[in-house]
Amino acid sequence: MKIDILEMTPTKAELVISDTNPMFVNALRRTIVSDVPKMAIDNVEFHLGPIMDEGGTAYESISPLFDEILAHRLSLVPVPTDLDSFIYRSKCSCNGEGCPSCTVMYSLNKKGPCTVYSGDLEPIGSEKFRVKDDLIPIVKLADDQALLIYATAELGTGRQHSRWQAALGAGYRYYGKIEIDHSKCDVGLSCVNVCPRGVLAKEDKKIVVRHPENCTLCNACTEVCDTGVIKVSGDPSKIIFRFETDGSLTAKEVLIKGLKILEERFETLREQIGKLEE
Amino acid sequence: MRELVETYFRERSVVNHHTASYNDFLPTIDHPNSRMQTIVDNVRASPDEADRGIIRLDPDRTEGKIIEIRIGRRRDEKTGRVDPSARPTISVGRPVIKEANGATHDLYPMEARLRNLNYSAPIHLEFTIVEDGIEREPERVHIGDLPVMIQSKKCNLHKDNIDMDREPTDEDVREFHVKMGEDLCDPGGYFIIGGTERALISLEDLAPNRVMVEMNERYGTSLHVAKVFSQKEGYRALTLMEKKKDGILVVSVPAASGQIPLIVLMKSLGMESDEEIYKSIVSDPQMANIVYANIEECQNKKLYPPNGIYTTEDAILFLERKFATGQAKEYRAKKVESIIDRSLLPHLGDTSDARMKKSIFLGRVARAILELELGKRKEDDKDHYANKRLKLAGDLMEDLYRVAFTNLIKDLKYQLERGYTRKKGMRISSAIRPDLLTHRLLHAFATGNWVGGRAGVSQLLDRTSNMSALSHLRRVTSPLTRSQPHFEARDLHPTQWGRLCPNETPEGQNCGLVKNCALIIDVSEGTDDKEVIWLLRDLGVKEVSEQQTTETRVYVNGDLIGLHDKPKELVEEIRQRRRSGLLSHEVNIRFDNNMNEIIINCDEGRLRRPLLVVRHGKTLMTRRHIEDMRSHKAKWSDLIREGVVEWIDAEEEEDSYIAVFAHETPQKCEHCGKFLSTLDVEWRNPGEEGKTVLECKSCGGTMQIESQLKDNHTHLEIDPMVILGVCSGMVPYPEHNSSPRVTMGAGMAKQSLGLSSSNYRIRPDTRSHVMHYPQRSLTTTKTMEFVNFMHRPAGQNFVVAIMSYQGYNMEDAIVMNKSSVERGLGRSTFMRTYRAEERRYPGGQEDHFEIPSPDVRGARADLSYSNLGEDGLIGPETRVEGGDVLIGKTSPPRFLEEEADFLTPQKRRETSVTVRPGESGWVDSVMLTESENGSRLVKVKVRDQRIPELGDKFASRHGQKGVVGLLVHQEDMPFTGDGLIPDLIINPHAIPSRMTVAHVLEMVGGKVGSMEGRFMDGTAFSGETEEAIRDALIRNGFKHNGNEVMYDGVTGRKIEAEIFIGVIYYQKLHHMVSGKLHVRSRGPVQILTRQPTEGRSRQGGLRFGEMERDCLIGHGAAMVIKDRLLDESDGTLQYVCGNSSCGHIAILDRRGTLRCPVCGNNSKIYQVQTSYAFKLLLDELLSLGVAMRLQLEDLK
Repeated sequence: MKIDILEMTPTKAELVISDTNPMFVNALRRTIVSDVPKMAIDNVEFHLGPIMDEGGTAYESISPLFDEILAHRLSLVPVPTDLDSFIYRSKCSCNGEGCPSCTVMYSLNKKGPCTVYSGDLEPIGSEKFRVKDDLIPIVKLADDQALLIYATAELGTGRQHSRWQAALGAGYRYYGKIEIDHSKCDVGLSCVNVCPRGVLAKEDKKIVVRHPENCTLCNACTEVCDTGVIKVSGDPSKIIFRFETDGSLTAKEVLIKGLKILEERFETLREQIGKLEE
Repeated sequence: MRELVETYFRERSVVNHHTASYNDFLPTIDHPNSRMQTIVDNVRASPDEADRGIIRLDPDRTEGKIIEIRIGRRRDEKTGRVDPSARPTISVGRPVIKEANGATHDLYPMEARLRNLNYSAPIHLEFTIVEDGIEREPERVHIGDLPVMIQSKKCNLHKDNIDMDREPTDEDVREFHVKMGEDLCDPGGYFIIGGTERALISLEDLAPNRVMVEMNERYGTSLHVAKVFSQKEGYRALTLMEKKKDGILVVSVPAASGQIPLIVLMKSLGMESDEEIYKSIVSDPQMANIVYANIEECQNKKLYPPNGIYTTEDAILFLERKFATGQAKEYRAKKVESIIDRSLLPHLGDTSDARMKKSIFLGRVARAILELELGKRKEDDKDHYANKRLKLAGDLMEDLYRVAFTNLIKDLKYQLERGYTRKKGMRISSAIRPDLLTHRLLHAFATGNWVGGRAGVSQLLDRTSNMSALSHLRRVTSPLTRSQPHFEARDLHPTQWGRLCPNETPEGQNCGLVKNCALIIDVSEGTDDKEVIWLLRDLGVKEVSEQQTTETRVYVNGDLIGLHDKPKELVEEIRQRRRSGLLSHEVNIRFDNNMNEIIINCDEGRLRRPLLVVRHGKTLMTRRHIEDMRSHKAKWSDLIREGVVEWIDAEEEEDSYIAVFAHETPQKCEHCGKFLSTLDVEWRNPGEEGKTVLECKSCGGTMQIESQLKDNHTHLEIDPMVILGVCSGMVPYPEHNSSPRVTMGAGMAKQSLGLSSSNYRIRPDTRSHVMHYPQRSLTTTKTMEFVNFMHRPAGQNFVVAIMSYQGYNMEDAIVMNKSSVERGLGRSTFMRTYRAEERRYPGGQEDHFEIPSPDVRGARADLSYSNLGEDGLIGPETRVEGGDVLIGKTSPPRFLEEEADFLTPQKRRETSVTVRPGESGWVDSVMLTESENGSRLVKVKVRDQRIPELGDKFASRHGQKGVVGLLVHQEDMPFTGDGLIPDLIINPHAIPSRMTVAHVLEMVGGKVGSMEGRFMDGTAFSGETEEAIRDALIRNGFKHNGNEVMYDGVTGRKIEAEIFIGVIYYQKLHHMVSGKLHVRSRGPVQILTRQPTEGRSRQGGLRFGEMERDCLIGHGAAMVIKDRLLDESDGTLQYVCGNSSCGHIAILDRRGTLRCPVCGNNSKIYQVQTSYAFKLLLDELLSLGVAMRLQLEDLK
């Protein structure tokens, strides 16, 4: 197996995996989508009743949105995750009561008129848990409206709920394999014009495949060609794999964690099989 | 041309027809001749009173004094007419509320909604008492309250009614509306009665006072009939004339049984001379014989003894004998007078002065029948929109108010006469009963039962979504019954083009009978026809002397006014006058070449549509107009005044030749090669000679093409999209769909959830939905701008793939992405408001909001009240489940004399309000206020989140509806090479047979829109073209047909077929599983039959019906039948007297002994299992005096 990295930024990764097969890459894709854990707000407590500010003016603890909508919006805010220092709340030594090794607390205190943003979530404890994406609008408050919220983030996986899904837009495609029978080609250019990805080009009075990596196997060129000289097929052993993250983990972390989970899983399998042989 | 449509909506709202009509009804300072004032001017305290607008007391009851009370405006003594510029006597104030403690203050709609009040304003009337000819000072008296239409001139929200030291700007008005808790997109046009919003549905009716001839096939022979629906001031009378087999013309008149020969009737009306009769009928020599036969028949001595009928006296005598045989002479005369003056053609007048007019009119009717028979006239088309009139809110109010006001005046007269004493004098204010009027009006609004026996006129405004409310306010219903077929009436008639939406109509029994207005319509308010008649006389229209003529007949509002010899010139002249503003724009004129008639209409209720005027192949609209409209300088009313645009009714449209498009749009720009839609080109030279010059908006190059306007065109369509209504206008590319699908799409738009109003947190609707993340549609239509769809959307843009998924989307099911749902796709909140009032009962007792103490009858366990505060009310944000108490309430005992025991005080009853069984949620708000009668009123709103689940209904805008069949995790869904995963998978079988091509087009359009970050235009007949969209797809790296290669999320392999995938707007419909799910194992039974209750709301059982029973019989499963029908239903054990001569039901008495109460037998009593319904039957027969005896036998 050979991996070429086309792109690797904190939130996006694109790789070419050669000498592989779709099942393997799909296993990786499914793992990073649904099994890589991340932190997300899971519990939101709302203050009920009037909220006083320093000047003694009372605000109503109400917003244009219902509490459950606010809670849902907060849950989807990407929370910075340190996979090494947190464990699942249910598996924590605190027996699920919530402690610094399984949960992060945030507070939000805002008085209208204003727009509440994700950046208004104040981490209780370490500043390193401050939300990086601080301009996600949560709700607009009107005059006399205020919010006082305590939110708890904990670890979870995309399988439980998509608020714990770290990788987004995960997908892959087969590498394009385009064959042109130059002997019969009339160089009509219709295939060049119809290709949405600019895979084909005309060079030296010949149609050439200039960017095979861009081919989506859409077959537009085959369909438009009157002489029938183009053949497009995908190569299942060479796969372009891409995914993005929501920012709570870097793309690299997601990939490594995903592989580790796969490894652990096979490790368990091997152990089990090993036990059978004994 | 969209500029025109935009200009129209800058001036008028979508419900303008209702508000304008209601404003026409209301008396205001700038509108002295309101319909309300006209009713007052024309009121008669009793039907035989000669004078109008005056109450004349009976001198016998007023000790001989002659007392008159003038309520209408003063009439001119000579002409008897009211001066139209005179000051109105009736006035309506602004909406106020009179509290129980006597205080009054201005009422705003939101307070009325919250406190279950009526949004109504006081009506004051000036009474002038004239005692023995001496006029007293006028007295202004409150006579009742009038429900006020929201956003009408008397509404407190109207611009003119906002108190400010300066002229309020639009911004001020908006600010004020927000302050009063109103939604800025609320259209108004409805009423608030008892806190509920009520819309008045426009009624479609046959045009009154017109002669309609038709041919009835009866038993193989055709019968020629003419009908006249004569209508005056709410009184309708159908006069029917038919030709009998022997050629005799007979007339049927309401209130007179049987038929009257035409000639007799005409003679009785004073037309004695046979020659006159002949002239008034015959228009063609061929008719002469029939008329002669008719006249001769009257002279038949046998049929009309003693001498036949020659004179008016003869005729009246005959009628007296026919209709009032054997009565006193005075009575006979009166009866005949009432028939010919009041029942016959009342629209021509109800006094003896109008008799000659009626006679001439009857001659015309006869002529029409004979012409039909001779084939010179065609049958009148009842479904032609020229023969239809609409009754809007103002007209309906007029009908209702007339009846209520006449009642009030009658009552006032009675009260004054009864209470009259010379000493005390007279006080109107103490004799009048304003409640009489108020209650009459409110009752009609609250029940929908209007005067004239029409039901369902006022309906609860549909607030499911903004679209449904708008559509509800633009609805038109036909009075035809839905049970009869009425195929022709249901068909789309060509004259409905541009007036009524061709697609928006319900499916099923009301199809085609309930209609909706097209986008731009105007309903005529009516102008005085006298002005038109004077003008016609000036223009040389001659009086009619006889019907036989070669000249053109001129009709105004169905009346034959005169003859003219140059019809074309006359019509042209009148049109020119109308276009130049010399004549009201409400006047419509048509020259009917075939019948050689000029038809002029200026009455009310004609549904009209706007058209651009075209002369000599050029529009009167020029480039300057377009630019003025763009810069908001030109207003719609200016265009009407200038004669550039005019309102055309269905009658005038018959005389018009209308071009739909001014020019063709080239497919491609000659210069830049861009695919063009009508939007991409600019018409540079409207109204100018020569070829049409078009400018490509993207490159600026100009093209010259042939104009489509020819010399004989009279008009040009404003914009083809305006033929659709508000709901069909929402469907993108409807011209690419099969018609029924557009109808279904329009129907479903009214069931879709979204943001129905921005004040949803304070509105106290009993049921309401709000979507969490509503979106504007990516593929938009121009109509959406005018119905505020951008601000009140109802739906979301879904990524949709068309493929099969494990068979879970068969038969219109849909597969949904669970992860999308978890991210908020299709979420909504359902809110229900519960209400309770501390009612007062006779005897001084009242309800109490409190936590019921344990000694209250029916009190629940303490735990049930644990959520309640001390005041008996629940707090906000409390989680509640079905059956939980929201409002603790106790009521006084139902029957005061129930227990004669005075020692123990009577127990109060527990009447708490609980959450509906099966529903749950959080308490959203608790509102405590005071109702109109001063008792405390509580409204508790409970909200519940509705996350899409299995069985919830979703639909695109193309009638493609489906229920969720499976929710799939993201990783199991198919994905594209870019990692894109669809939100929804629909089945490919949903497309071909339904021919919803626009669904496919919208998907690719949405794809382009989402890639380019813009909204696509899918407006009917002028949206972006398919070619342009395909071009854009390639530009954005997609295959030109919208297909993509996808990979199976489970196996990871490439899917062999290319999958069609795109972005399309989907709506969540309000049919959700959580509102329908229902099971029962045990539950309540009906008291009478002891069978399980019916219906989900009563936790009812599921019916085991005849067919189910038949099935079990077929299986021979006798015990199962017994189980279903007896044990699990109303099976009961009864004691039966075993005495073979008795066989009655026995009883187990208080001492525990069994005995038969009939025969006294107490030894042979057996227990029998039977259904309780059977026992009930025995008892009911017993009450009829039938003794049923049960003969018992041992089982063999």
